[in-house]
Amino acid sequence: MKKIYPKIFLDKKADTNAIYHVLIQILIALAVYVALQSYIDSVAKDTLFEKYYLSNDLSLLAETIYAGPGGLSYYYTNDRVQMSKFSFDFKQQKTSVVEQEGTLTIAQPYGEDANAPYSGQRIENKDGLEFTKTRGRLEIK
Amino acid sequence: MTDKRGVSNFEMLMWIPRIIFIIFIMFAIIFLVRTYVVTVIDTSAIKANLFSNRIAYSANGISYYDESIKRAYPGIIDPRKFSSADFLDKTIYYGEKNREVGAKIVLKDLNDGKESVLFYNQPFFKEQKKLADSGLTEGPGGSRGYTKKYNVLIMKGNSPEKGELTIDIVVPNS
Repeated sequence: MKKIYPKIFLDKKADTNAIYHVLIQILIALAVYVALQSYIDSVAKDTLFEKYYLSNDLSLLAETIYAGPGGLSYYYTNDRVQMSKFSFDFKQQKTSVVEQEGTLTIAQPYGEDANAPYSGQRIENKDGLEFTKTRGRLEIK
Repeated sequence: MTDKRGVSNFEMLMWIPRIIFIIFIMFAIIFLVRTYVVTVIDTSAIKANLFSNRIAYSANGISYYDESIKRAYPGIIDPRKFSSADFLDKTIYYGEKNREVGAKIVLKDLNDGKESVLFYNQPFFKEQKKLADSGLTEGPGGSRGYTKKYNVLIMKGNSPEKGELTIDIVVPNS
């Protein structure tokens, strides 16, 4: 039985075989470039760090506001991150930040006043958050 | 080896190490990118500092609290709050299972040298303090210990007396 080999490298002209080799090398190099570029793009577009940063920053801020000796009001804005891209949730002693439904939520803990627990609505599309503490009770909007 | 088919097979075999090398380079680049991309920020020192300030200054900490003006007096400690062992556990709440912070608070009266001790999240503090003292502070599962001292006044009746407040805090690695 006669074996069938791929004819691509069996051309009688050595130059033609060399051209096939170069073409395949270019194709592999292109595939590697496209794969790496898409990986780098996904890293660049990733908002994991921003979510982690915001949830950490906001939970530290909630702790700071609870640490105040009396009532206070503070308006939180951040010019390093576009806050309106994210939704914020302050529930069960955690500050959760999410970009849109279905994406990964990052949550950081904060210690709340056991005598005046806070559980607010989800805050969306806002460029800043207003923290108010009156008579030990925290309000965020 | 002079046979055309033989040469061709040899060249095709030579592709195997090349492809392995390309895969190795790809993984090396991915590893380098992942190494230099920061996704976690270590805020344990800030958390510890903030928590000790909360204990010392807030209304639901150990500060003297004036009910008539609804304000705490930062730097003036109410010694009555040390009489209940779980006073702080009842006021600062991190959830059912608190693995975020633990603290030991020692108030020393500088007049008579008497010390009062209060814990926050005592089981966690005792467990993690050993880790923090052992120097195993790196990586997940480890903890860091912080100590903060304050010169305070102790509210005894109507006359404040000099005292020293020491807060030992353990915070797990983030």
